Amino acid sequence: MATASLLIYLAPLALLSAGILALRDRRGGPERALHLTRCASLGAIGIAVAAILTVLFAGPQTSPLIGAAGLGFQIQLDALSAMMLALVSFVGAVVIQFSRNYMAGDPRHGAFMGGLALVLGAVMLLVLSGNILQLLLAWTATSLALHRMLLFYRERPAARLAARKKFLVARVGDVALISAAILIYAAFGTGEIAAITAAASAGSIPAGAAWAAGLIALAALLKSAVFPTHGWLTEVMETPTPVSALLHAGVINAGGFLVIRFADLMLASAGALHLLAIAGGLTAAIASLVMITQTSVKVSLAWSTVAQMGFMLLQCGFGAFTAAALHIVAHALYKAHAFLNAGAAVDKSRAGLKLPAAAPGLAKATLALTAAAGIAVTAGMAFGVTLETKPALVVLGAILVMGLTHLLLRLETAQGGILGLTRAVSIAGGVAVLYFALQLGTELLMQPTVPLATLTDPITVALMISFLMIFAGVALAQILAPAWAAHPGLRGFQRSLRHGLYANDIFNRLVGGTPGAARV
Amino acid sequence: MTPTPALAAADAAIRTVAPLWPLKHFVAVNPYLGVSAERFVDGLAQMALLSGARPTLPPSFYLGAVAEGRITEADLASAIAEVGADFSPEALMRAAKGDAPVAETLPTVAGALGAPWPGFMVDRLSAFAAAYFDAGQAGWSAGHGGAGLYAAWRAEAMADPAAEIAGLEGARSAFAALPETASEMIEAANAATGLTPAAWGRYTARLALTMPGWSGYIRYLVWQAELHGGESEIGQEWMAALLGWETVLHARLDAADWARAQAELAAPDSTDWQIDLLLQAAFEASWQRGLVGRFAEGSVPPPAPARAPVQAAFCIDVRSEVFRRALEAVDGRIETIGFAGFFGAAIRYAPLGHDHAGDQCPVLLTPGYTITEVAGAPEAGPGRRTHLKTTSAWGAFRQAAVSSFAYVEAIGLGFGAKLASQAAGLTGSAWDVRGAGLSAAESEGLAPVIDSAAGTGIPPEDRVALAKGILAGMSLKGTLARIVMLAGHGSTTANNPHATGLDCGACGGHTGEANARVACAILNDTGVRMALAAEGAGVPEDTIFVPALHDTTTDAVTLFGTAPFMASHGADLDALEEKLAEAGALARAERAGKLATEAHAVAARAQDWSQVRPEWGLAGCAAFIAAPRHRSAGRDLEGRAFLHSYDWQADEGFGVLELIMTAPLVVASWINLQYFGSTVDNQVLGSGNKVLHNVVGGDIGVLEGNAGDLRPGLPWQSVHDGTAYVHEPLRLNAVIEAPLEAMNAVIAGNEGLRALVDNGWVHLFQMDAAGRIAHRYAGGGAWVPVGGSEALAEAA
Repeated sequence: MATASLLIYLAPLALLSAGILALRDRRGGPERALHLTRCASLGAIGIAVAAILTVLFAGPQTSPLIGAAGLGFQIQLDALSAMMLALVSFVGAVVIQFSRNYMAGDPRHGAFMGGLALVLGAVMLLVLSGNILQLLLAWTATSLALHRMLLFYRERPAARLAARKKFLVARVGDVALISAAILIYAAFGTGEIAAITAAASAGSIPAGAAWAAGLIALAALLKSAVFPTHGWLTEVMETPTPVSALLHAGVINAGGFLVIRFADLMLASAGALHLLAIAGGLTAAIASLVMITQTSVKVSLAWSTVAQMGFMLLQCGFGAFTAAALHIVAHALYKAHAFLNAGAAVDKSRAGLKLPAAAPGLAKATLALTAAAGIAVTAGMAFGVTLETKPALVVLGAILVMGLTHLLLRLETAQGGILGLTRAVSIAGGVAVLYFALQLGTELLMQPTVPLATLTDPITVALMISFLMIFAGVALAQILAPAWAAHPGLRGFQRSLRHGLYANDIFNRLVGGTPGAARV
Repeated sequence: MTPTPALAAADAAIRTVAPLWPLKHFVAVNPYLGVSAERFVDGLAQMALLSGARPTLPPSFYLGAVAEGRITEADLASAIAEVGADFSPEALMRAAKGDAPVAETLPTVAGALGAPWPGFMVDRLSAFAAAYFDAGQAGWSAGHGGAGLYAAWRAEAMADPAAEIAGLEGARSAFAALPETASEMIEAANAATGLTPAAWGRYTARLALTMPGWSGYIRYLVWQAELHGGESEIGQEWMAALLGWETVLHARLDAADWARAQAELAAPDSTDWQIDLLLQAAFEASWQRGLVGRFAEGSVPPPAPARAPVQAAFCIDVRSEVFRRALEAVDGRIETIGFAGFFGAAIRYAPLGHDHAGDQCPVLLTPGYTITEVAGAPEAGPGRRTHLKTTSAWGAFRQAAVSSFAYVEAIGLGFGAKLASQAAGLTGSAWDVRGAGLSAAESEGLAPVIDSAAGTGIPPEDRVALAKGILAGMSLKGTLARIVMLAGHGSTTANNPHATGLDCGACGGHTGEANARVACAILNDTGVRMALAAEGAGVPEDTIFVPALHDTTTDAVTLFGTAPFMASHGADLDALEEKLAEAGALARAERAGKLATEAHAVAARAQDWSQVRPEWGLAGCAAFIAAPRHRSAGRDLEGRAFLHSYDWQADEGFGVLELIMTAPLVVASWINLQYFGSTVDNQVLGSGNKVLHNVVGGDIGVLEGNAGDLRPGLPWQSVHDGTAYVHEPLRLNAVIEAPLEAMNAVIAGNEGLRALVDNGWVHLFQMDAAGRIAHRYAGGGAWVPVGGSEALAEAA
């Protein structure tokens, strides 16, 4: 049975070979490339379904190693990899289907399809990795395949600048991951990920493994475009929309996947987790504020991705790995749709109402907060969530309360009275129920692949409290700022946020994207 | 107060830029509007000098047309003869095979400094303008607190470290040292640049055209203000911001470099485009040959027809030509009519439950009436508001800081289903802008209200005059049919930022549904009908006016408000709907060829979110024909002609002729030149690659990619199919059946029109009594026989 799991390789192989054939096709028209990539992407969905069924009915398994000395190609088939394979093949098939018409008439349409297929194949190899050597190769291949797509319009200077930044960040990430892999291999004496995580979860953590966890955290942070290394991500709209969709929905998840894959090892290093929490949490707070000041739809979506990835890494840092897994999948689907559909922005704006920004009164805000808390606590208790059993989920629940408060306040302006109140509470209640159901459902599905951790060390607790306060501050700013936007102090803050706190300007300067020092 | 010369020139500079309508109601604009007082060839050359836009396609395109035999030696010779150039066709061909000229542009300070400053300056100003004008994208907007554009820009530049980070040391204090008001800034820049008045004029125009997008949007704001009788300082403020940047950069420029720039601005060294322009003229001559040939046989008026069962009026839009031909093919007794698609109803339309109203008339006009909307039951309006506010609340939950995290985890998975169904085409992807927030039944019941109330509607006493105007304008005299259908048009496309550009230009970038319905409501009005009858200009009692909407993407035609007539005209209406459906199928089959698809797949493009060419819009537009329909009927004009029904013999005093030549003809030429500009230089005058488009400010415009200027004009995908141009650059060929003297009188009395035809932005032809294209307008009131050379008449 475990040998049969090698058949899953057919998914990445189909896409990689379709990609190579499409790129080598010199017959002019894109027809062959279109045909090959469609067949490969639909085939990959079929294999992903088979992989899910295998995990459900036959349980997780590790394929035999193709390689030597514990290093080589190997598939780890479990809830995490099956889910990621399904996600990548699904988003991939949608993006490939979309690109058929969208890129029609581009002289390099066929090469575009081939390039997409290569990225998809590499990401699939990555998520299926059962061995650190395959993981490393796929990790780098993903990055290089993506680099090609960022430069699809190589003649665009801004595209070149973004790709250069991405290339630099990615290579630092590669070094971190290679170093981590070496440490891991030295410590555990094997490259088989299942064996490594099993050993780690059994508590036998050799020396050096904690350093490896730290390096994995670093690689993940860089791959996830954490602030202030995000500059390339917010500029990739220099390449066609489907690449943005694929990048924001597929490739960007590699960092989060890596951390979740090595969750057992990560738990061995409190420092690595704290690093993830701090860098991820700050990124989430900053980027989500930057997002709401942006004036173009795609840049706003890109900042949203930076924020969402930061939040997902924060969840990892709090030990809520299954929540992070859910976040990856849900965000990928949401963001793929948002990018592909970004052209509808004008129609949406025309169809909607333009409402003036208004800050709610204190009484109303307090009431909404109380109601939101009541709704979330009720829903959470109904699902058996308590501070003792699931502290991380309680923290996430508190963040849900902040979101629900905002929702309730806005719904209240839509419709007042008892009818409006009933509607608002049922909408918010529905959201809360969905939220907890999905969180706990994911926990169930991910067992035993992804560990359930209850972190109660003083630093983690302090971080949880700090980030709750930071997010509360951000949420408050979000509710109040639009109405007070004309205040001189806020204006300067808004300008800095709109420019992403100038981190990218500095980055540009460092990579030579703007000229050297000059006098005025 | 008379502005100083420096200020007046800065004000003139912004007028060199064509206005750019926002995407919420995108209408075609002649990109050469600011230079249309010049002759065509000079205007194009000036545009090249000021903006860098190539005036024509590269010579290789025309050489291809020569090789294919489309351009003949006679065409080359006639182009050469027309300008009296010293060339033989062979010499022209030899010259064309040399290197294509490159557009030399006038210098600016940023340009003289060189990379990256021109781009950097554009990026900063574009980002600032997007924040200043944001109309709904940002949840937390810049909040300039009512400050003017220049003051807000200066305040931001003084505090913004970006320029310093990029290497412009001391930038903030340099910006802070700029004058506090726009007029002082302009005067200071004028003094500092040390340019002669003529050079200053060129320099400021060049500067405005370094950003044709945002400068165009500013020009639009000025246009709107002036159209409504006001004036706006915003053009001056914007020029001051551009000059502010230049002033700060000026300090870094070597004196010698600026001296060179000064010399160039004083005596511009423009590119020689003669070869290119001759090739373009030969290309046009070739097409005209075909057009004239198509009418060479002439036509005789049909014998006085029996009363037509249906008269179907469509917008003059070139897309109507295909459908009209199809409808006539389905039933030869149906008479079709071409008329500007707002049907004389210049209205301001306030959609139900919304706070805004949009002008639905040609952008040269100001609407006379505000029309509101109902949807059956009175509670539909408040219900819609509640619904739309809930949508907005949900959007805020999705897009706000912090709450977006919870949103994604609770709701994100649901997008999987959306992705799958949209990708597989199971659900349509087009937004129902018109019916958003309403139930299907309410949406069905949406209708304009003409009853006059406080400030809205059309007073009964105005309706008779309006009705007479509409009937006369459509040349609708004689016995009217039992059913007169007025079909406005609109498009259905998905995921398309430029969607409103495919709607009706005569309705100000909206669909023509409301206008058609208002026009029909007036014409069906009992009081109007009684008044018309009393004046003897009666409309037969059994005539009904039925509004309709022609969806140009799907070629479906929907009739509205037929319920009251079902008892009297039910069978006729049913028959009409059947014929419209048949005609739609024919039209789709014809369009399928150009779309490189199968007829059955045409309609699906409307709902396909991945389709960047849902329809071809007005691509290919090349002719404008104002004559009775029998002149053009039966001729396949390939969806390339604007057809305006016009019978000069019924036009006492030539009032209708004047209206046609000063409004629909001008609008058609704007559309034609928009396509011309977007084709010959899509990088400067078009909006570039659609797959990189990034909507700015909610519904203002698009960027191509991540930054840079707002993009004007049409996307590349709207003029090119990947292998060939679907729109080939051809100036509009206007053919009008009317006496020469009458046309001369109209031209003499209208300055704007005279500039257009005398300067050669439009080719004007006369159709004679035999239905042949007989004369070509040679400017200055002179006409030459087509095919002949000597001036025939000098009527004035």
